[in-house]
This record gives sequence, structure tokens and C-alpha cells, in this order.
Amino acid sequence: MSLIFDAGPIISLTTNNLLWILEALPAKTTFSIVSSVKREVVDRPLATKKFKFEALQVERLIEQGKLLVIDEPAFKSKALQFLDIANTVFWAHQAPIKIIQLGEMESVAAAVGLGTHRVVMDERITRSLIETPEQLQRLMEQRLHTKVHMDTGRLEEFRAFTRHVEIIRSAELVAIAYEKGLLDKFLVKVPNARKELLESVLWGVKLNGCSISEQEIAELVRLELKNATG
Amino acid sequence: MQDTVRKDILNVLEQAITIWEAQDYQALGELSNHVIHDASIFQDDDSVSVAVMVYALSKVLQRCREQGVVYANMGALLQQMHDSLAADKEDAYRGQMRTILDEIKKVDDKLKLYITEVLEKARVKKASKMHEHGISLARTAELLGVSQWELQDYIGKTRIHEEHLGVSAQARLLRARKWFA
Repeated sequence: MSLIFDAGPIISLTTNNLLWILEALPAKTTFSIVSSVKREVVDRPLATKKFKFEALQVERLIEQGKLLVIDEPAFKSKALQFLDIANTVFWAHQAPIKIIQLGEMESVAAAVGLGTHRVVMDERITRSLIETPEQLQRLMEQRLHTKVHMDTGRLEEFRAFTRHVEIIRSAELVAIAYEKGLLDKFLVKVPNARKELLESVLWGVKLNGCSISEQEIAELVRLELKNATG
Repeated sequence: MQDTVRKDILNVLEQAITIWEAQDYQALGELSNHVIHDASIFQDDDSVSVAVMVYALSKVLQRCREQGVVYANMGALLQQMHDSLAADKEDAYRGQMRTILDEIKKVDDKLKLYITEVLEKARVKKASKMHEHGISLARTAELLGVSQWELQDYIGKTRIHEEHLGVSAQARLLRARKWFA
């Protein structure tokens, strides 16, 4: 099984010192990023002072072969084609609203191109365009205080390309790590230790950029605790 | 420059001049959001720059007031920008925009207000606003010239993600369990 990571979950996991989860999860799973994501999570921060150590941690994982880098011209070409489509789905004031960026589209294109269709993405706008574009249209209309037109023809083209794509977030990834006992070394003698541990990692990824609401965290905690007792 | 963008920037500059004279930094900060709609839709440098500039000015004003320093030159520069744009002299307007951003940096040198940091924060703040309006994180980071690390760190501490989009957490968890079964 191969999972394609967007930049977001790599950033959320690294800033929470949870990147090691990728090494600890079953060996039958391979984790990959596209080259433009590598630029954002390794090359760019390495050239600055802030987040340099975090970039080194990601680079270490790449050098160990635990995180593969995909640099496939065919995926890039497909990504460019569908980036253009994605960025002409929504219109306001007779102008297309460019909502997503090449790196995000390249991750999706790689997942489709490899036939895995599995993406880990913390970013909510690209996710929503794939899963619930009508919700996204409503959000944009509310926020922009203007009528946002959806080009259904373009949307159908985009949907045809992404229809098999499935997305999870870093939040679900850490929940799986919790389920598999990978986080048990952090259990301490406090009341409701397991619940506290799970909440702590979920809030950690949320506060470092994973798009998950407080209500969804409560839902994941409830489901995990129910799973443990049931 | 799009006509809608030009009109909105002129309107913002008119208000910015008045607010700068009144030394109301909170109102300036709020005003910087008024061009975010244009910045999100048209994603042009002019809308993005004016949003960042007005927000940075609000911080300059706030810190000057906290230190008891009067910085008078900005009002005149804002007026020049307004007049150039009103006369359709876009090149002159953009040159004056660069001047005012340089002036903001000079305030840093004179008063040690860490304005360079303020400009960086202004970019992150405005990027988060655009993300809130429906533009992806990577796209806003690209438009504002900030890193996704910086932007995620900032956005994670806001309430932007309290608004749910996409499939439910339960559906995602079931999906993840299937993947890692």
C-alpha cells in the first residue's frame, strides 16, 4: 500500500515530534511525497533558519528510504492539466478563483497515477473541492460576500479525475498510531491516561495546522474509546 | 489593474488616510481586511500588497504610540499613492507602494521596532485571511510569499478550522482503519 503525503501532514507531524510514526507503522505501507512538496518541507526551510531542524528530520526520513520522493514528469503534466481545471471551477466577478496550488494537485495526480488513490492531506480547501465542492462554494459566498458561480462542466471533469481519491488527515494517522499502541510509551499516571494521551496528540496536530475542528476531535476520541471498550 | 480592484484600493486608501490622521491603529488593522475579498478573487499583487501594507501600518502606528513616538510622514505618502491611482498613474502608484514599504523598514532601523518582523507577520496574517475565504493554504502561502510551515503554525491557533468542510471524522477514521488493517 502506498500513501501520498501533501506538505501539511508532514509539517503537522514534524512540529509535534511525531514524524517517527511513519517509521513505526507497518512496513508493508510506503509513504511518498512529490518533489514540489519536498521543496516546501525540506529544501526551502533548509535555506532559512526557522524550521531548519524540522527540515533535517524530514530529510533524514527520505535518506533512510522511509519517505520516498516522486519526481515523475507524467504526474506533473497531469497535475498542471487538472490544476487549470480546478482553478476554473469557481468564478466571481467574471474572474476564475484560483483556489489550489500545483503541489497540492501534484500529490493528488501522483495518487491517481500510481493507482493508490490514497492521500494524506491536512489542507481543507483541496479536500473539500474533491469531496464536497458545494460546501466550498457556500463557504466562499459567505466569506467573499458575493455570488460565486460554479462551472459544473469543469467540476465534472475534475471529479472524473479524482473520483476514486480518498483522503485522511494527520489526525486520523495519529489515531491509528494510538490504536496500534505506538503511543503507549507516553502513557503516564494521570486520570484517564489513554483519553488524555489521544486528546493531546490530536490537539497537537490541530494547533500545528491540521484542519480538524474541536467537535471532530471529540468525535475521534469518543470513537477510539468506544473501539477500545467494545 | 481591474476596475473593481482600483476602486476598492482607492476607497481603502481614502479611509487609511483619515484613520492614520486619527491615529487609530485598531481601525487600520480592520481596514486591511477590506481588500482581502479582492485579493482572494483576483489574486493580484496590488490587492495583496495594499492589504499587507495597511496591516503593517497599523502595527507601526501601534508600536509608535506605545513608545510615544510620532511618525508623521506616512499620511503624506498614502495621499500620494491615492492621487497617483486616482489619476490612473499605476506605475507611479506601485513605485510609491515600494517607497512606503521601504519607509516602514526604515522605521525599524530608527526605532528598533522590529518592523521587518511586522511585515512578515502581516503577510502571514493576510494569508490566513485569504485561506479563511476559500483559497488553499499552499496557494495563499505562494501568493503572499510565506512558508507553509509559518502559515500552518499561525492558522492552527485560529478558529478557521472550526468550520467543518468535507466528509465526517468518523468516515475518515474508518477509511484509515481499512488502510492500516
